Amino acid sequence: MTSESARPRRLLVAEDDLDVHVMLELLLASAGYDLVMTRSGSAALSALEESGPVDLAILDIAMPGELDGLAATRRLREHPAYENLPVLLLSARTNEAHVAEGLAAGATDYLVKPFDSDVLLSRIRALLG
Amino acid sequence: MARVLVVDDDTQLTRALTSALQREGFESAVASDATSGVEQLAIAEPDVVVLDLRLPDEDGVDVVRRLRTWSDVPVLILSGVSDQRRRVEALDAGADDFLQKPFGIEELVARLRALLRRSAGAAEQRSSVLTYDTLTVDLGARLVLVDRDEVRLTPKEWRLLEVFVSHPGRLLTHTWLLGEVWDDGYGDETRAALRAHIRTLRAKLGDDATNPRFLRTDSGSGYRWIAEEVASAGPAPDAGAAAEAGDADEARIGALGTGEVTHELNNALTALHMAVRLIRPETGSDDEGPATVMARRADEILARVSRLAVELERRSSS
Repeated sequence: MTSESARPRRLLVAEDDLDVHVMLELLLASAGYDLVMTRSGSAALSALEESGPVDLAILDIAMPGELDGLAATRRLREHPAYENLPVLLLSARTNEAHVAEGLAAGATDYLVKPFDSDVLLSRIRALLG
Repeated sequence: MARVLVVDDDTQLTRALTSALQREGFESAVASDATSGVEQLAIAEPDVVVLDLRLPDEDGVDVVRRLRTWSDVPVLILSGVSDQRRRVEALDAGADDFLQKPFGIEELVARLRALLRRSAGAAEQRSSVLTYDTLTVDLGARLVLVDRDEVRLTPKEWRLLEVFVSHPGRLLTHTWLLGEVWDDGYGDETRAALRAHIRTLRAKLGDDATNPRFLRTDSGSGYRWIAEEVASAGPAPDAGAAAEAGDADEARIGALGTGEVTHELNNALTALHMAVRLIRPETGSDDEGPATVMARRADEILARVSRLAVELERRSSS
């Protein structure tokens, strides 16, 4: 759990849907994580430069703007500093081709919406090691 | 579900159109001539009309001219290759778009959705003057009146006010607001700036943070626009604001495709899952209270609805 760590684990989140964004922020903050909340792929990448290192990125796939979650994941993987950063993709797309596309882009894990909050929290714990 | 009225005497075409539109999530009605078309328009109140230029009892251009005297429903004209000049006449008479026969159903659907979006936007523009108690906000003219006196806002204060009144009753977190107003700016300095702008905005609106009429601080989470518009009626400010938001959302949702609807449904369910998790009482005690039992039941129902939503998504993408 985060309380055992020297510092709260820091998560970078990109989600453009207002309700999901707000609830992710409340849920993850109540679970003790330090958060960098953004609403697009490009905002996530610039926030990452400003905020310093994070322990995990949680990216929604379908986001507006130049970079959706898949493109943002590919950009992260091109950067030597983030090539090993765990990336959890969130998506409402359920078919296997989409999951495979997410993993091929470099994601570490893929969670289909709507997901159970406890499942999200346990996946995050597993990814943080 | 958006309603489409198809006015065309080609029964083969209308039959194919009706089933294709149904597959794309539209509700449709058919009229085979101008007289019954105009009648249906008055009775069924469709959201959009597909009108053939060549009808057996009246010229399509005249039909457009006639209906424009009493209706602003979006009209898409279907025309033949040789109708170029009359197409221009139809647009001049008040039609909104045209499509040349033969056409692909995908293009027709895309054009109908674009028309519906435009018409929802126009309806929003028409009702862009919002009045709350002593405060009037004209979104179109970017004008704010407090006790009928104009109040000058800085661009950041205006943007904040615009975001608040566009999301009545909903919690907007600091980071969400930062994204809206500072282009996803990040850092303590921007957060401090947000608080400073909200302080000055409140002062200009004559709102008191400790006893707010317009903007409430949800401690630690963000802000919520709690004021109720004067024209709307409701038992409590939050309920009234939520009902207003629901009405505005209905028109927007009507213009979405089936895939977009399932996408939004999944997002709403995801948010609801987290909301239920957040309000669920801590477990650990042997004595389970009614709140714990109800929260568990809510989880089970949510799991069921989620399975249905996933199945809908599968069907809409196959």
